[in-house]
Amino acid sequence: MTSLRVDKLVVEFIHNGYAVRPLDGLSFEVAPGELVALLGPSGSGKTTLLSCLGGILTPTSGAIHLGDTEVTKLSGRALEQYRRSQVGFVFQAFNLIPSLTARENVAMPLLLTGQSRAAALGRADELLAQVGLTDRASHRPSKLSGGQQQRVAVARGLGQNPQLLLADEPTANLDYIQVESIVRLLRELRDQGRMIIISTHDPRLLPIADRVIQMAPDHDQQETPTHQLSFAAGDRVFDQGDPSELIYTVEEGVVDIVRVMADGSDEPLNQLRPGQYFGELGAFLGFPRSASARAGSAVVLTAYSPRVFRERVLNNTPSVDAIQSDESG
Amino acid sequence: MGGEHASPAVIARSSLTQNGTAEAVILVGHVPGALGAPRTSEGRPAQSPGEIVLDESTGADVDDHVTVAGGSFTVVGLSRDTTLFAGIPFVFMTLVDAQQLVFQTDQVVSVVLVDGEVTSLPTGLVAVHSAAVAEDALKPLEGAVSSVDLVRALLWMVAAVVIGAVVYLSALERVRDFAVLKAMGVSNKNLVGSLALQAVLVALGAVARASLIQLVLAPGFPLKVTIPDRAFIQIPCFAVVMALVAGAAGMTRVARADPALAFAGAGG
Repeated sequence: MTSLRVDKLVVEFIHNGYAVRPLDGLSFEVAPGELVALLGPSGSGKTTLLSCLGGILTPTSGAIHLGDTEVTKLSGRALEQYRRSQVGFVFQAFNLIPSLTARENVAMPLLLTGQSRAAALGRADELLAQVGLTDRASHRPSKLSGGQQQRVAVARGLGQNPQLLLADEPTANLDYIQVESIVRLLRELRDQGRMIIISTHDPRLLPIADRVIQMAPDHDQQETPTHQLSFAAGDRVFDQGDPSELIYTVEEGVVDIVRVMADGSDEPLNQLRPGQYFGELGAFLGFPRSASARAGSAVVLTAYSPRVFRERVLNNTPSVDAIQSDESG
Repeated sequence: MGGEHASPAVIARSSLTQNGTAEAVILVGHVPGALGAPRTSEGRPAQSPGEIVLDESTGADVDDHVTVAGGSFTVVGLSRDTTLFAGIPFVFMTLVDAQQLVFQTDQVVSVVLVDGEVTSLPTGLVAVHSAAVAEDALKPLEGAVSSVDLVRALLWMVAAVVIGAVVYLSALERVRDFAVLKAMGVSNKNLVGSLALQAVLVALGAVARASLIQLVLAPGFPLKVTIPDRAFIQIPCFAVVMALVAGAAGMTRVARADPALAFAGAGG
Protein backbone atom coordinates (compact mmCIF):
# COMPACT_ATOMS: atom_id res chain seq x y z
CA MET A 1 0.00 0.00 0.00
CA THR A 2 1.17 3.53 -0.80
CA SER A 3 2.27 5.67 2.11
CA LEU A 4 3.47 9.23 2.45
CA ARG A 5 6.85 10.06 3.90
CA VAL A 6 8.08 13.57 4.65
CA ASP A 7 11.75 13.84 5.47
CA LYS A 8 13.50 16.88 6.97
CA LEU A 9 11.38 19.32 5.01
CA VAL A 10 12.58 22.90 5.00
CA VAL A 11 10.82 25.83 3.33
CA GLU A 12 12.47 29.21 3.48
CA PHE A 13 11.08 32.42 2.03
CA ILE A 14 12.84 35.71 1.60
CA HIS A 15 10.52 38.46 2.79
CA ASN A 16 11.52 42.13 2.93
CA GLY A 17 15.13 41.06 2.79
CA TYR A 18 15.09 38.61 5.69
CA ALA A 19 14.53 34.87 5.64
CA VAL A 20 11.44 33.20 7.10
CA ARG A 21 11.24 29.45 7.65
CA PRO A 22 7.65 28.31 8.05
CA LEU A 23 8.90 24.71 7.89
CA ASP A 24 12.22 23.81 9.41
CA GLY A 25 13.23 20.17 9.27
CA LEU A 26 9.73 18.65 9.48
CA SER A 27 9.54 14.85 9.21
CA PHE A 28 6.57 12.48 9.49
CA GLU A 29 4.89 9.53 7.81
CA VAL A 30 1.29 8.84 6.92
CA ALA A 31 -0.03 5.33 6.40
CA PRO A 32 -2.86 4.40 3.98
CA GLY A 33 -6.25 4.95 5.57
CA GLU A 34 -4.87 7.46 8.04
CA LEU A 35 -6.36 10.87 8.70
CA VAL A 36 -3.77 13.34 9.92
CA ALA A 37 -4.54 16.77 11.27
CA LEU A 38 -2.05 19.61 11.03
CA LEU A 39 -2.76 21.85 13.99
CA GLY A 40 -1.36 25.27 14.42
CA PRO A 41 -2.10 28.98 14.35
CA SER A 42 -1.96 31.17 11.29
CA GLY A 43 1.58 31.41 10.00
CA SER A 44 2.67 28.11 11.43
CA GLY A 45 3.25 26.55 8.01
CA LYS A 46 0.14 24.36 7.59
CA THR A 47 -0.75 25.68 4.16
CA THR A 48 2.89 25.74 3.16
CA LEU A 49 3.15 22.06 4.05
CA LEU A 50 -0.02 21.22 2.10
CA SER A 51 1.36 23.12 -0.88
CA CYS A 52 4.55 21.06 -0.74
CA LEU A 53 2.66 17.80 -0.37
CA GLY A 54 0.46 18.75 -3.31
CA GLY A 55 3.38 19.57 -5.57
CA ILE A 56 2.45 23.23 -5.75
CA LEU A 57 5.44 24.51 -3.84
CA THR A 58 9.00 23.25 -4.12
CA PRO A 59 10.62 23.05 -0.68
CA THR A 60 14.03 24.56 0.00
CA SER A 61 15.34 21.17 1.08
CA GLY A 62 14.11 17.81 2.29
CA ALA A 63 12.11 15.13 0.52
CA ILE A 64 8.52 14.01 0.10
CA HIS A 65 7.78 10.46 -1.05
CA LEU A 66 4.35 9.25 -2.01
CA GLY A 67 4.81 5.54 -2.49
CA ASP A 68 7.67 5.16 -4.93
CA THR A 69 7.34 8.70 -6.22
CA GLU A 70 9.73 11.32 -4.87
CA VAL A 71 7.49 14.31 -5.24
CA THR A 72 10.27 16.79 -4.55
CA LYS A 73 12.17 15.54 -7.58
CA LEU A 74 9.26 16.03 -9.99
CA SER A 75 8.93 18.97 -12.32
CA GLY A 76 6.99 20.08 -15.39
CA ARG A 77 4.61 17.54 -16.83
CA ALA A 78 5.52 14.90 -14.26
CA LEU A 79 4.46 17.28 -11.51
CA GLU A 80 1.23 18.10 -13.33
CA GLN A 81 0.58 14.40 -13.70
CA TYR A 82 1.23 13.91 -9.98
CA ARG A 83 -1.19 16.67 -9.03
CA ARG A 84 -3.71 15.37 -11.52
CA SER A 85 -3.73 11.71 -10.59
CA GLN A 86 -2.35 11.23 -7.09
CA VAL A 87 -3.52 14.22 -5.08
CA GLY A 88 -6.91 15.74 -4.43
CA PHE A 89 -7.34 19.25 -3.05
CA VAL A 90 -10.07 20.73 -0.90
CA PHE A 91 -9.69 24.44 -0.31
CA GLN A 92 -10.86 26.54 2.60
CA ALA A 93 -12.68 28.98 0.31
CA PHE A 94 -14.24 26.10 -1.71
CA ASN A 95 -13.00 27.77 -4.91
CA LEU A 96 -15.88 26.59 -7.03
CA ILE A 97 -16.47 28.34 -10.34
CA PRO A 98 -19.60 30.43 -9.75
CA SER A 99 -20.97 30.25 -13.28
CA LEU A 100 -20.92 26.45 -13.38
CA THR A 101 -23.29 23.99 -11.76
CA ALA A 102 -22.10 21.58 -9.10
CA ARG A 103 -21.93 18.85 -11.72
CA GLU A 104 -19.94 21.00 -14.12
CA ASN A 105 -17.59 22.11 -11.36
CA VAL A 106 -16.74 18.51 -10.58
CA ALA A 107 -16.42 17.63 -14.26
CA MET A 108 -14.34 20.67 -15.29
CA PRO A 109 -10.87 19.42 -14.22
CA LEU A 110 -11.63 16.08 -15.86
CA LEU A 111 -12.64 17.75 -19.10
CA LEU A 112 -9.53 19.89 -19.12
CA THR A 113 -7.33 16.88 -18.61
CA GLY A 114 -8.62 15.20 -21.71
CA GLN A 115 -11.63 13.17 -20.67
CA SER A 116 -14.63 13.20 -22.96
CA ARG A 117 -17.59 15.29 -21.92
CA ALA A 118 -19.75 12.24 -21.37
CA ALA A 119 -17.11 10.48 -19.28
CA ALA A 120 -16.39 13.58 -17.20
CA LEU A 121 -20.05 14.27 -16.49
CA GLY A 122 -20.65 10.60 -15.72
CA ARG A 123 -17.80 10.62 -13.21
CA ALA A 124 -19.14 13.87 -11.74
CA ASP A 125 -22.50 12.21 -11.19
CA GLU A 126 -20.81 9.30 -9.39
CA LEU A 127 -18.84 11.62 -7.14
CA LEU A 128 -21.79 13.84 -6.32
CA ALA A 129 -23.71 10.71 -5.37
CA GLN A 130 -20.80 9.72 -3.13
CA VAL A 131 -20.96 13.03 -1.28
CA GLY A 132 -24.75 12.95 -1.14
CA LEU A 133 -25.47 15.79 -3.52
CA THR A 134 -27.16 14.08 -6.46
CA ASP A 135 -30.25 16.21 -6.01
CA ARG A 136 -28.17 19.44 -6.06
CA ALA A 137 -26.10 18.57 -9.13
CA SER A 138 -27.70 21.18 -11.34
CA HIS A 139 -27.40 24.02 -8.81
CA ARG A 140 -24.81 26.73 -9.03
CA PRO A 141 -22.60 27.42 -5.99
CA SER A 142 -24.64 30.49 -5.04
CA LYS A 143 -27.64 28.22 -4.54
CA LEU A 144 -25.75 25.81 -2.28
CA SER A 145 -25.01 26.09 1.43
CA GLY A 146 -21.40 26.36 2.60
CA GLY A 147 -21.40 22.70 3.59
CA GLN A 148 -22.82 21.66 0.25
CA GLN A 149 -20.24 23.75 -1.57
CA GLN A 150 -17.48 22.12 0.41
CA ARG A 151 -18.88 18.68 -0.41
CA VAL A 152 -18.85 19.64 -4.09
CA ALA A 153 -15.24 20.71 -3.61
CA VAL A 154 -14.46 17.34 -2.02
CA ALA A 155 -16.14 15.58 -4.94
CA ARG A 156 -14.04 17.64 -7.33
CA GLY A 157 -10.90 16.72 -5.40
CA LEU A 158 -11.75 13.03 -5.79
CA GLY A 159 -12.12 13.24 -9.57
CA GLN A 160 -9.11 11.08 -10.39
CA ASN A 161 -9.55 8.85 -7.34
CA PRO A 162 -6.37 10.15 -5.65
CA GLN A 163 -4.53 8.30 -2.91
CA LEU A 164 -3.88 11.49 -1.01
CA LEU A 165 -6.50 14.10 -0.16
CA LEU A 166 -5.28 17.46 1.15
CA ALA A 167 -7.86 19.64 2.84
CA ASP A 168 -6.98 23.17 3.87
CA GLU A 169 -9.17 24.33 6.77
CA PRO A 170 -12.10 22.40 5.28
CA THR A 171 -14.49 23.45 8.02
CA ALA A 172 -13.36 27.03 8.53
CA ASN A 173 -16.32 28.69 6.86
CA LEU A 174 -19.01 26.30 8.06
CA ASP A 175 -21.47 26.20 10.91
CA TYR A 176 -21.43 23.20 13.24
CA ILE A 177 -24.16 21.32 11.39
CA GLN A 178 -22.28 21.68 8.12
CA VAL A 179 -19.04 20.74 9.89
CA GLU A 180 -20.61 17.44 10.91
CA SER A 181 -21.43 16.53 7.33
CA ILE A 182 -17.89 17.31 6.18
CA VAL A 183 -16.32 15.41 9.07
CA ARG A 184 -18.52 12.42 8.33
CA LEU A 185 -17.51 12.56 4.68
CA LEU A 186 -13.80 12.79 5.48
CA ARG A 187 -14.06 9.78 7.78
CA GLU A 188 -15.82 7.78 5.08
CA LEU A 189 -13.07 8.66 2.62
CA ARG A 190 -10.44 7.71 5.18
CA ASP A 191 -12.19 4.36 5.71
CA GLN A 192 -11.89 3.71 1.98
CA GLY A 193 -8.11 3.63 2.44
CA ARG A 194 -7.18 7.12 1.41
CA MET A 195 -4.59 9.20 3.19
CA ILE A 196 -6.20 12.43 4.28
CA ILE A 197 -4.31 15.40 5.63
CA ILE A 198 -6.29 18.34 6.92
CA SER A 199 -4.96 21.61 8.22
CA THR A 200 -6.90 23.26 10.97
CA HIS A 201 -6.60 25.65 13.86
CA ASP A 202 -9.80 24.28 15.34
CA PRO A 203 -8.96 21.76 18.11
CA ARG A 204 -12.55 20.44 17.98
CA LEU A 205 -11.61 18.54 14.85
CA LEU A 206 -8.80 16.67 16.52
CA PRO A 207 -10.86 13.70 17.82
CA ILE A 208 -11.55 12.54 14.26
CA ALA A 209 -7.85 12.52 13.40
CA ASP A 210 -5.78 9.38 13.72
CA ARG A 211 -2.81 11.59 14.39
CA VAL A 212 -2.16 15.24 15.08
CA ILE A 213 0.94 17.08 13.96
CA GLN A 214 1.54 20.22 15.97
CA MET A 215 2.86 22.88 13.62
CA ALA A 216 3.78 25.17 16.52
CA PRO A 217 5.17 24.29 19.97
CA ASP A 218 2.58 23.58 22.63
CA HIS A 219 3.67 25.99 25.33
CA ASP A 220 1.05 24.97 27.81
CA GLN A 221 2.93 21.74 28.33
CA GLN A 222 6.26 23.45 28.92
CA GLU A 223 7.10 25.18 32.15
CA THR A 224 10.76 25.99 32.38
CA PRO A 225 11.68 27.23 35.86
CA THR A 226 12.83 30.80 36.18
CA HIS A 227 16.61 30.97 36.07
CA GLN A 228 19.49 33.34 35.43
CA LEU A 229 21.85 33.20 32.46
CA SER A 230 25.16 34.87 31.76
CA PHE A 231 26.59 35.65 28.34
CA ALA A 232 29.93 37.07 27.25
CA ALA A 233 30.03 40.00 24.85
CA GLY A 234 29.11 38.82 21.35
CA ASP A 235 27.35 35.62 22.47
CA ARG A 236 23.93 34.90 20.92
CA VAL A 237 21.04 34.62 23.40
CA PHE A 238 18.80 33.20 20.67
CA ASP A 239 18.70 33.21 16.88
CA GLN A 240 16.02 34.42 14.53
CA GLY A 241 13.74 31.51 13.67
CA ASP A 242 14.40 29.64 16.95
CA PRO A 243 11.34 28.37 18.83
CA SER A 244 10.10 31.01 21.27
CA GLU A 245 10.00 29.49 24.76
CA LEU A 246 11.31 31.99 27.27
CA ILE A 247 11.10 35.69 27.98
CA TYR A 248 14.16 37.52 29.25
CA THR A 249 14.73 40.53 31.46
CA VAL A 250 18.08 42.29 31.37
CA GLU A 251 19.72 42.38 34.82
CA GLU A 252 23.19 43.59 33.81
CA GLY A 253 24.85 44.67 30.59
CA VAL A 254 23.46 45.46 27.15
CA VAL A 255 21.57 43.20 24.70
CA ASP A 256 21.43 43.99 20.98
CA ILE A 257 18.35 42.93 19.04
CA VAL A 258 19.14 42.42 15.33
CA ARG A 259 17.29 41.08 12.35
CA VAL A 260 19.32 38.69 10.22
CA MET A 261 18.83 39.47 6.56
CA ALA A 262 18.80 36.95 3.74
CA ASP A 263 22.31 37.94 2.69
CA GLY A 264 23.63 37.18 6.19
CA SER A 265 23.97 40.79 7.29
CA ASP A 266 22.47 42.10 10.54
CA GLU A 267 19.99 44.96 10.75
CA PRO A 268 20.06 46.54 14.25
CA LEU A 269 16.57 46.90 15.73
CA ASN A 270 17.11 47.87 19.35
CA GLN A 271 19.51 47.91 22.30
CA LEU A 272 18.16 46.87 25.69
CA ARG A 273 19.52 47.81 29.09
CA PRO A 274 18.89 46.62 32.66
CA GLY A 275 15.21 46.64 33.63
CA GLN A 276 13.96 46.02 30.09
CA TYR A 277 12.69 42.73 28.71
CA PHE A 278 12.55 41.02 25.32
CA GLY A 279 11.25 37.92 23.57
CA GLU A 280 7.74 38.12 25.02
CA LEU A 281 5.59 38.32 21.87
CA GLY A 282 6.98 35.20 20.23
CA ALA A 283 6.68 33.28 23.50
CA PHE A 284 3.11 34.44 24.13
CA LEU A 285 1.91 33.85 20.57
CA GLY A 286 3.89 30.72 19.78
CA PHE A 287 5.73 32.27 16.84
CA PRO A 288 9.39 31.57 16.16
CA ARG A 289 11.82 34.31 17.11
CA SER A 290 11.48 37.16 14.63
CA ALA A 291 14.95 38.54 15.44
CA SER A 292 18.22 37.50 17.05
CA ALA A 293 19.34 38.63 20.52
CA ARG A 294 23.06 39.10 21.06
CA ALA A 295 25.01 40.14 24.16
CA GLY A 296 26.40 43.60 23.48
CA SER A 297 28.58 43.29 26.56
CA ALA A 298 28.86 40.81 29.37
CA VAL A 299 25.21 40.38 30.37
CA VAL A 300 23.14 38.69 33.03
CA LEU A 301 19.56 37.80 32.10
CA THR A 302 16.65 36.28 33.97
CA ALA A 303 14.63 33.80 31.89
CA TYR A 304 10.91 33.29 32.56
CA SER A 305 8.26 31.02 31.16
CA PRO A 306 5.39 33.05 29.63
CA ARG A 307 3.04 32.19 32.51
CA VAL A 308 5.50 33.20 35.20
CA PHE A 309 6.52 36.29 33.27
CA ARG A 310 2.89 37.36 33.02
CA GLU A 311 2.31 36.77 36.73
CA ARG A 312 5.49 38.10 38.21
CA VAL A 313 6.92 40.62 35.84
CA LEU A 314 4.46 42.08 33.40
CA ASN A 315 2.32 43.76 36.03
CA ASN A 316 5.30 45.04 38.05
CA THR A 317 7.87 46.02 35.50
CA PRO A 318 8.36 49.73 34.78
CA SER A 319 6.99 50.90 31.46
CA VAL A 320 8.68 49.43 28.46
CA ASP A 321 8.82 51.11 25.11
CA ALA A 322 6.07 49.49 23.05
CA ILE A 323 8.11 49.63 19.91
CA GLN A 324 11.03 48.09 21.67
CA SER A 325 9.01 45.17 22.98
CA ASP A 326 7.38 44.66 19.60
CA GLU A 327 10.69 44.56 17.79
CA SER A 328 12.15 42.15 20.26
CA GLY A 329 9.28 39.68 20.11
CA MET B 1 -6.48 51.74 -86.77
CA GLY B 2 -7.15 48.04 -86.30
CA GLY B 3 -9.60 46.30 -83.96
CA GLU B 4 -12.60 44.16 -84.79
CA HIS B 5 -15.06 46.94 -84.04
CA ALA B 6 -14.62 50.67 -83.69
CA SER B 7 -17.26 53.23 -82.94
CA PRO B 8 -17.18 56.96 -82.22
CA ALA B 9 -18.62 58.29 -78.99
CA VAL B 10 -19.05 61.46 -77.02
CA ILE B 11 -18.31 61.56 -73.30
CA ALA B 12 -18.82 64.72 -71.31
CA ARG B 13 -19.99 66.03 -67.96
CA SER B 14 -23.45 67.45 -68.03
CA SER B 15 -26.50 68.01 -65.89
CA LEU B 16 -29.81 66.17 -65.60
CA THR B 17 -32.97 67.90 -64.50
CA GLN B 18 -36.02 65.98 -63.46
CA ASN B 19 -38.91 67.11 -61.31
CA GLY B 20 -37.24 70.49 -61.01
CA THR B 21 -34.09 69.08 -59.48
CA ALA B 22 -30.74 69.17 -61.26
CA GLU B 23 -27.86 66.80 -60.70
CA ALA B 24 -24.49 66.21 -62.30
CA VAL B 25 -24.26 63.34 -64.75
CA ILE B 26 -21.77 61.81 -67.16
CA LEU B 27 -23.22 61.97 -70.62
CA VAL B 28 -22.38 59.23 -73.12
CA GLY B 29 -23.35 59.50 -76.76
CA HIS B 30 -23.10 56.29 -78.76
CA VAL B 31 -24.03 54.93 -82.12
CA PRO B 32 -27.21 52.88 -81.57
CA GLY B 33 -26.33 49.20 -81.22
CA ALA B 34 -22.60 49.89 -81.32
CA LEU B 35 -19.85 50.12 -78.72
CA GLY B 36 -20.79 52.43 -75.87
CA ALA B 37 -24.45 51.40 -75.77
CA PRO B 38 -25.42 50.31 -72.26
CA ARG B 39 -26.81 47.01 -71.03
CA THR B 40 -30.20 47.93 -69.68
CA SER B 41 -31.77 46.49 -66.59
CA GLU B 42 -35.13 47.76 -67.73
CA GLY B 43 -36.39 49.04 -71.11
CA ARG B 44 -34.02 49.32 -74.05
CA PRO B 45 -31.02 51.41 -75.22
CA ALA B 46 -31.57 54.73 -76.97
CA GLN B 47 -31.99 54.23 -80.69
CA SER B 48 -33.53 57.47 -81.92
CA PRO B 49 -33.01 61.14 -81.17
CA GLY B 50 -34.84 62.27 -78.05
CA GLU B 51 -34.40 58.93 -76.30
CA ILE B 52 -32.25 58.44 -73.25
CA VAL B 53 -31.17 55.69 -70.81
CA LEU B 54 -30.48 56.71 -67.20
CA ASP B 55 -28.72 54.97 -64.36
CA GLU B 56 -31.15 53.55 -61.82
CA SER B 57 -29.68 55.79 -59.12
CA THR B 58 -31.32 58.81 -60.75
CA GLY B 59 -34.66 57.47 -59.56
CA ALA B 60 -36.24 57.90 -62.97
CA ASP B 61 -38.62 55.40 -64.56
CA VAL B 62 -39.09 54.37 -68.15
CA ASP B 63 -41.30 56.85 -70.06
CA ASP B 64 -40.36 59.72 -67.74
CA HIS B 65 -39.41 62.99 -69.39
CA VAL B 66 -36.16 64.58 -68.34
CA THR B 67 -33.91 67.45 -69.41
CA VAL B 68 -30.21 67.07 -70.10
CA ALA B 69 -28.17 70.18 -70.84
CA GLY B 70 -31.35 71.95 -71.91
CA GLY B 71 -32.52 69.18 -74.24
CA SER B 72 -35.69 67.19 -73.56
CA PHE B 73 -35.56 63.42 -73.58
CA THR B 74 -37.82 60.48 -72.97
CA VAL B 75 -36.48 57.73 -70.75
CA VAL B 76 -36.55 54.48 -72.70
CA GLY B 77 -34.37 52.36 -70.44
CA LEU B 78 -32.51 52.12 -67.15
CA SER B 79 -29.00 50.84 -66.51
CA ARG B 80 -27.56 49.47 -63.30
CA ASP B 81 -24.20 50.16 -61.60
CA THR B 82 -23.26 52.75 -64.19
CA THR B 83 -21.85 55.56 -62.09
CA LEU B 84 -18.51 57.35 -61.89
CA PHE B 85 -16.67 59.13 -59.08
CA ALA B 86 -18.56 57.30 -56.38
CA GLY B 87 -22.06 58.03 -57.49
CA ILE B 88 -22.32 60.39 -60.47
CA PRO B 89 -24.73 58.56 -62.80
CA PHE B 90 -24.21 57.94 -66.50
CA VAL B 91 -26.87 58.90 -69.02
CA PHE B 92 -26.79 57.32 -72.46
CA MET B 93 -28.21 58.89 -75.64
CA THR B 94 -27.58 58.64 -79.35
CA LEU B 95 -24.34 60.01 -80.69
CA VAL B 96 -26.17 62.63 -82.72
CA ASP B 97 -28.02 64.04 -79.72
CA ALA B 98 -24.82 64.09 -77.65
CA GLN B 99 -22.87 65.87 -80.39
CA GLN B 100 -25.56 68.55 -80.65
CA LEU B 101 -25.74 69.05 -76.90
CA VAL B 102 -22.00 69.14 -76.31
CA PHE B 103 -20.46 70.41 -79.53
CA GLN B 104 -23.41 71.84 -81.51
CA THR B 105 -22.05 69.98 -84.57
CA ASP B 106 -22.01 66.44 -85.87
CA GLN B 107 -18.34 66.70 -86.91
CA VAL B 108 -16.75 66.14 -83.52
CA VAL B 109 -16.50 63.14 -81.21
CA SER B 110 -14.64 62.67 -77.92
CA VAL B 111 -13.36 59.17 -78.39
CA VAL B 112 -13.36 56.23 -80.70
CA LEU B 113 -14.17 53.05 -78.83
CA VAL B 114 -12.28 50.05 -80.14
CA ASP B 115 -12.94 46.40 -79.39
CA GLY B 116 -9.67 44.56 -80.03
CA GLU B 117 -6.04 45.41 -80.59
CA VAL B 118 -5.15 48.89 -81.85
CA THR B 119 -2.48 48.44 -84.50
CA SER B 120 -2.17 51.97 -85.85
CA LEU B 121 -3.42 55.41 -84.88
CA PRO B 122 -4.18 58.57 -86.81
CA THR B 123 -1.92 61.47 -85.94
CA GLY B 124 -2.89 63.20 -82.71
CA LEU B 125 -4.79 60.26 -81.20
CA VAL B 126 -3.65 58.16 -78.24
CA ALA B 127 -4.77 54.59 -77.45
CA VAL B 128 -5.77 53.98 -73.86
CA HIS B 129 -6.57 50.49 -72.59
CA SER B 130 -9.79 49.99 -70.70
CA ALA B 131 -7.84 49.02 -67.56
CA ALA B 132 -5.98 52.32 -67.72
CA VAL B 133 -9.28 54.14 -68.19
CA ALA B 134 -10.69 52.41 -65.13
CA GLU B 135 -7.61 53.29 -63.10
CA ASP B 136 -7.74 56.86 -64.29
CA ALA B 137 -11.40 57.09 -63.35
CA LEU B 138 -10.57 56.05 -59.78
CA LYS B 139 -7.82 58.62 -59.31
CA PRO B 140 -10.14 61.34 -57.98
CA LEU B 141 -11.27 58.84 -55.36
CA GLU B 142 -7.81 57.98 -54.06
CA GLY B 143 -8.22 60.21 -51.03
CA ALA B 144 -11.62 58.77 -50.22
CA VAL B 145 -10.38 55.21 -50.70
CA SER B 146 -7.41 55.91 -48.41
CA SER B 147 -9.77 57.33 -45.82
CA VAL B 148 -11.94 54.22 -45.98
CA ASP B 149 -8.84 52.04 -45.63
CA LEU B 150 -7.74 54.07 -42.63
CA VAL B 151 -11.16 53.77 -40.99
CA ARG B 152 -11.09 50.06 -41.70
CA ALA B 153 -7.67 49.74 -40.05
CA LEU B 154 -8.91 51.75 -37.06
CA LEU B 155 -11.96 49.51 -36.74
CA TRP B 156 -9.75 46.44 -36.76
CA MET B 157 -7.66 48.04 -34.03
CA VAL B 158 -10.76 48.79 -32.01
CA ALA B 159 -11.87 45.20 -32.46
CA ALA B 160 -8.44 44.00 -31.34
CA VAL B 161 -8.55 46.22 -28.26
CA VAL B 162 -12.06 45.03 -27.39
CA ILE B 163 -11.16 41.37 -27.80
CA GLY B 164 -7.87 41.86 -25.95
CA ALA B 165 -9.68 43.60 -23.10
CA VAL B 166 -12.37 40.93 -22.94
CA VAL B 167 -9.80 38.15 -22.82
CA TYR B 168 -7.54 39.94 -20.35
CA LEU B 169 -10.36 40.86 -17.99
CA SER B 170 -11.72 37.36 -18.32
CA ALA B 171 -8.32 36.02 -17.29
CA LEU B 172 -7.88 38.59 -14.55
CA GLU B 173 -11.19 37.97 -12.85
CA ARG B 174 -10.68 34.22 -12.98
CA VAL B 175 -7.07 34.04 -11.86
CA ARG B 176 -8.05 32.03 -8.82
CA ASP B 177 -10.13 29.65 -10.94
CA PHE B 178 -7.14 29.09 -13.17
CA ALA B 179 -4.92 28.66 -10.11
CA VAL B 180 -7.30 26.03 -8.73
CA LEU B 181 -7.32 24.16 -12.02
CA LYS B 182 -3.54 24.34 -12.19
CA ALA B 183 -3.30 23.02 -8.65
CA MET B 184 -5.40 20.09 -9.82
CA GLY B 185 -2.91 19.29 -12.52
CA VAL B 186 -4.52 20.94 -15.52
CA SER B 187 -1.67 21.94 -17.79
CA ASN B 188 -0.83 25.47 -18.88
CA LYS B 189 -1.29 24.30 -22.44
CA ASN B 190 -4.92 23.36 -21.83
CA LEU B 191 -5.73 26.51 -19.85
CA VAL B 192 -4.08 28.88 -22.30
CA GLY B 193 -5.65 26.93 -25.15
CA SER B 194 -9.10 27.35 -23.63
CA LEU B 195 -8.58 31.09 -23.34
CA ALA B 196 -7.29 31.27 -26.91
CA LEU B 197 -10.37 29.37 -28.02
CA GLN B 198 -12.52 31.92 -26.20
CA ALA B 199 -10.76 34.76 -28.03
CA VAL B 200 -11.18 33.07 -31.39
CA LEU B 201 -14.85 32.33 -30.74
CA VAL B 202 -15.48 35.94 -29.75
CA ALA B 203 -13.83 37.12 -32.97
CA LEU B 204 -15.59 34.61 -35.20
CA GLY B 205 -18.89 35.36 -33.49
CA ALA B 206 -18.36 39.02 -34.30
CA VAL B 207 -17.58 38.16 -37.92
CA ALA B 208 -20.72 36.05 -38.16
CA ARG B 209 -22.85 38.82 -36.71
CA ALA B 210 -21.23 41.37 -39.04
CA SER B 211 -21.95 39.12 -42.02
CA LEU B 212 -25.63 39.14 -41.13
CA ILE B 213 -25.81 42.81 -40.21
CA GLN B 214 -24.28 43.87 -43.55
CA LEU B 215 -27.21 42.25 -45.31
CA VAL B 216 -29.46 44.76 -43.59
CA LEU B 217 -27.18 47.80 -43.67
CA ALA B 218 -25.65 47.58 -47.15
CA PRO B 219 -28.81 48.41 -49.12
CA GLY B 220 -29.27 51.55 -47.04
CA PHE B 221 -25.93 53.06 -48.02
CA PRO B 222 -26.02 55.96 -50.50
CA LEU B 223 -23.31 54.21 -52.52
CA LYS B 224 -23.38 50.68 -53.73
CA VAL B 225 -21.66 48.41 -51.22
CA THR B 226 -20.11 45.29 -52.66
CA ILE B 227 -18.61 42.63 -50.41
CA PRO B 228 -16.49 40.26 -52.46
CA ASP B 229 -16.79 36.55 -51.76
CA ARG B 230 -13.14 36.35 -50.76
CA ALA B 231 -13.92 38.68 -47.85
CA PHE B 232 -15.88 35.89 -46.19
CA ILE B 233 -12.68 33.83 -46.12
CA GLN B 234 -10.16 36.59 -45.51
CA ILE B 235 -11.96 38.38 -42.70
CA PRO B 236 -12.48 35.29 -40.47
CA CYS B 237 -8.85 34.26 -41.03
CA PHE B 238 -7.61 37.73 -40.15
CA ALA B 239 -9.99 37.85 -37.19
CA VAL B 240 -8.56 34.61 -35.80
CA VAL B 241 -5.00 35.92 -36.08
CA MET B 242 -6.02 39.26 -34.58
CA ALA B 243 -7.85 37.55 -31.70
CA LEU B 244 -4.83 35.42 -30.83
CA VAL B 245 -2.52 38.44 -30.91
CA ALA B 246 -4.96 40.61 -28.96
CA GLY B 247 -5.53 37.87 -26.40
CA ALA B 248 -1.84 37.24 -25.84
CA ALA B 249 -1.69 39.43 -22.72
CA GLY B 250 -4.56 37.54 -21.11
CA MET B 251 -3.06 34.21 -22.05
CA THR B 252 0.28 35.23 -20.58
CA ARG B 253 -1.52 36.20 -17.37
CA VAL B 254 -3.05 32.75 -17.17
CA ALA B 255 0.22 31.03 -17.96
CA ARG B 256 1.81 32.87 -15.05
CA ALA B 257 -0.98 32.22 -12.55
CA ASP B 258 0.52 30.64 -9.44
CA PRO B 259 -1.36 27.51 -8.38
CA ALA B 260 -0.59 28.44 -4.77
CA LEU B 261 -3.21 31.18 -5.21
CA ALA B 262 -5.74 28.39 -4.80
CA PHE B 263 -4.91 28.51 -1.11
CA ALA B 264 -5.28 32.30 -0.93
CA GLY B 265 -7.42 33.27 2.01
CA ALA B 266 -6.17 30.42 4.13
CA GLY B 267 -4.26 31.35 7.14
CA GLY B 268 -1.68 28.76 7.75
